[in-house]
Amino acid sequence: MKTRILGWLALVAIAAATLNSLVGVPADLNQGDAQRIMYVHVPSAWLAYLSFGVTALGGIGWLWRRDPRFDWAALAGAEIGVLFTAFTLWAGAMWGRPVWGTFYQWEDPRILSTTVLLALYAGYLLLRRLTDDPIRRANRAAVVGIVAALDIPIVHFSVEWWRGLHQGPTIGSPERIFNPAAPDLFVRALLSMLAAFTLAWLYLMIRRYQLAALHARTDEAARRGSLAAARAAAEPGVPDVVPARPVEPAS
Amino acid sequence: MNPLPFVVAAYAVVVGGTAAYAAWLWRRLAAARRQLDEATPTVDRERRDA
Repeated sequence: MKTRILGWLALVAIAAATLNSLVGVPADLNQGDAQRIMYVHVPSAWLAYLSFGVTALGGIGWLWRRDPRFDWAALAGAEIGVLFTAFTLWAGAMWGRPVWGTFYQWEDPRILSTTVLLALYAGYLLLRRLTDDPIRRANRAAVVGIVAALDIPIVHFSVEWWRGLHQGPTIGSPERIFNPAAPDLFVRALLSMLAAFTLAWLYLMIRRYQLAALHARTDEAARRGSLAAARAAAEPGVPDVVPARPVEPAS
Repeated sequence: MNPLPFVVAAYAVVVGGTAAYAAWLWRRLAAARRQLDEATPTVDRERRDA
């Protein structure tokens, strides 16, 4: 019930923040209406980082505690992270064409490292499909999820470490957060979109986690069902399976 | 170059995609609940018969 309320709250928040960013805020003096794309591009990038952070922490939690709940959280983070990374690249391309004159540039470190991030976590999701054994799947996924997270700081600091087409970090040092160069109207629009999308992210994470838990319970029920059926077939009458001979103690 | 089609395309995919993913998750959850309901009585029946 609480999750449902969260979902409705996120929906209303996104609708209000979207309306504000599209018609409530004036167009930028230099970039015009193209600047409005930043209000969906930046939250998408932030949520991609957050999701993959959850995946890495979930992987560490699984390897440390062997609790499947960590693995379910890691899976939720990876799937939602892939979605928001794709959104980041898409919104960036839509902004890049009218402002830079190109949808995509392979030489740009930020764009390329974000594409690599997308490929890494898409690979993570594919890797999870390679085995039905939940323990082996969680082990492999945890290692890949942790190693892939090394790309997150590379993506974030790529604009400072290397020269490229992409501008500097939107959210970087605390000094820039508390003393932004942009007008208050623009900052408020961006922060409201960040808050609205973070609410939606929380709702999606909870639902995806619940789905992973349900799948695990169904797999477990199916396994128990198969075992029960095998026992029922083996026990009555002459057993199909010859019982193992008792092991004689070694002399 | 008129940036409005690009703005519309960006918002349509990001906002619409988030909503579509939420709806898809909701359907997958409903299907998973049905699947679990179907699997559980089978296990109980087999246990009883065994």
